[in-house]
Amino acid sequence: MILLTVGTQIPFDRLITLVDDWVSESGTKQEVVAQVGSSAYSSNNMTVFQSVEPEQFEQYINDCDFIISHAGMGSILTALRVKKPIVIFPRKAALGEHRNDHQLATARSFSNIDGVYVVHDRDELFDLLLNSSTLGGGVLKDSDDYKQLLSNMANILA
Amino acid sequence: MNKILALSSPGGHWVQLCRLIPAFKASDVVYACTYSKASELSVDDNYYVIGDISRDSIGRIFSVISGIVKILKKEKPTVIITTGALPGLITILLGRIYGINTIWLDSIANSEKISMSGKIASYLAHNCFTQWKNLAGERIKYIGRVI
Repeated sequence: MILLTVGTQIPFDRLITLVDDWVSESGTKQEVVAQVGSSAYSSNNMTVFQSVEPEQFEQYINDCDFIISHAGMGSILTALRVKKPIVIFPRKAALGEHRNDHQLATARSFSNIDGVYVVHDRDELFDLLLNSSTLGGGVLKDSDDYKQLLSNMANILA
Repeated sequence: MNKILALSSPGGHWVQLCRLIPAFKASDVVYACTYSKASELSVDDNYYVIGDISRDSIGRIFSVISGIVKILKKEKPTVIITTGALPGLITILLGRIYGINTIWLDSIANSEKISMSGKIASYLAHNCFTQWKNLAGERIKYIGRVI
């Protein structure tokens, strides 16, 4: 199963439409579950939800083979935690998809992280989906920077 | 013992706030987010639901403020810690009014510039942190990151 998720604040139908088109064109047998946020999008190709509670989302995350997502930190960190590959497609402010272009910045910062695959357009997305069996998951490591954060924060709170 | 109010918006803000949980173990903690139930927390954790709000839904600001004020009055936290976004900023402002120590951790998503809320928080919060060394400055420090 492929999990498509775009958060809940602002619609991102450009990505949902692309994935929907890919399901039609590729004739894939893989089930696609799409969390589309505040959008009226409907599809015969995918199981569509506007939003899901964290518990249900956790279930989808655990069941999926990989994730296709906007470049949101919640999706990326969650994917790394459960070691699932995540394909990220950043929103663009110029297209009214977000208030600013921080998702493009996120995509740049995470493009060299294992398990995170950045795509920006239809061709890149379709190419990657064609070879999705080769995608590997990343890992959420307890890095030195993370240990430093916890110990500094604990000191401030002491 | 410190009593912490750990509060954020849903999505990435909340996932990052939950990454801080190991730093809270010597303190009493109250959590707040917009989810009806927070699956990352255990049943013993003290969790409140707050209203969601962003710049696009500013009309709900008064009900969100009153919800947060209720938590502050009931739980009387000594420290507020938030990873954003707008509800976190509102809580920082309320915390200053109520004389509570306040901490802002800007989202790791803001890798090239500090968020608008973070910039405002840098003037309001007692401690303001970025997760990117290159963005650290006089009012916003780097003390580590969630990954």
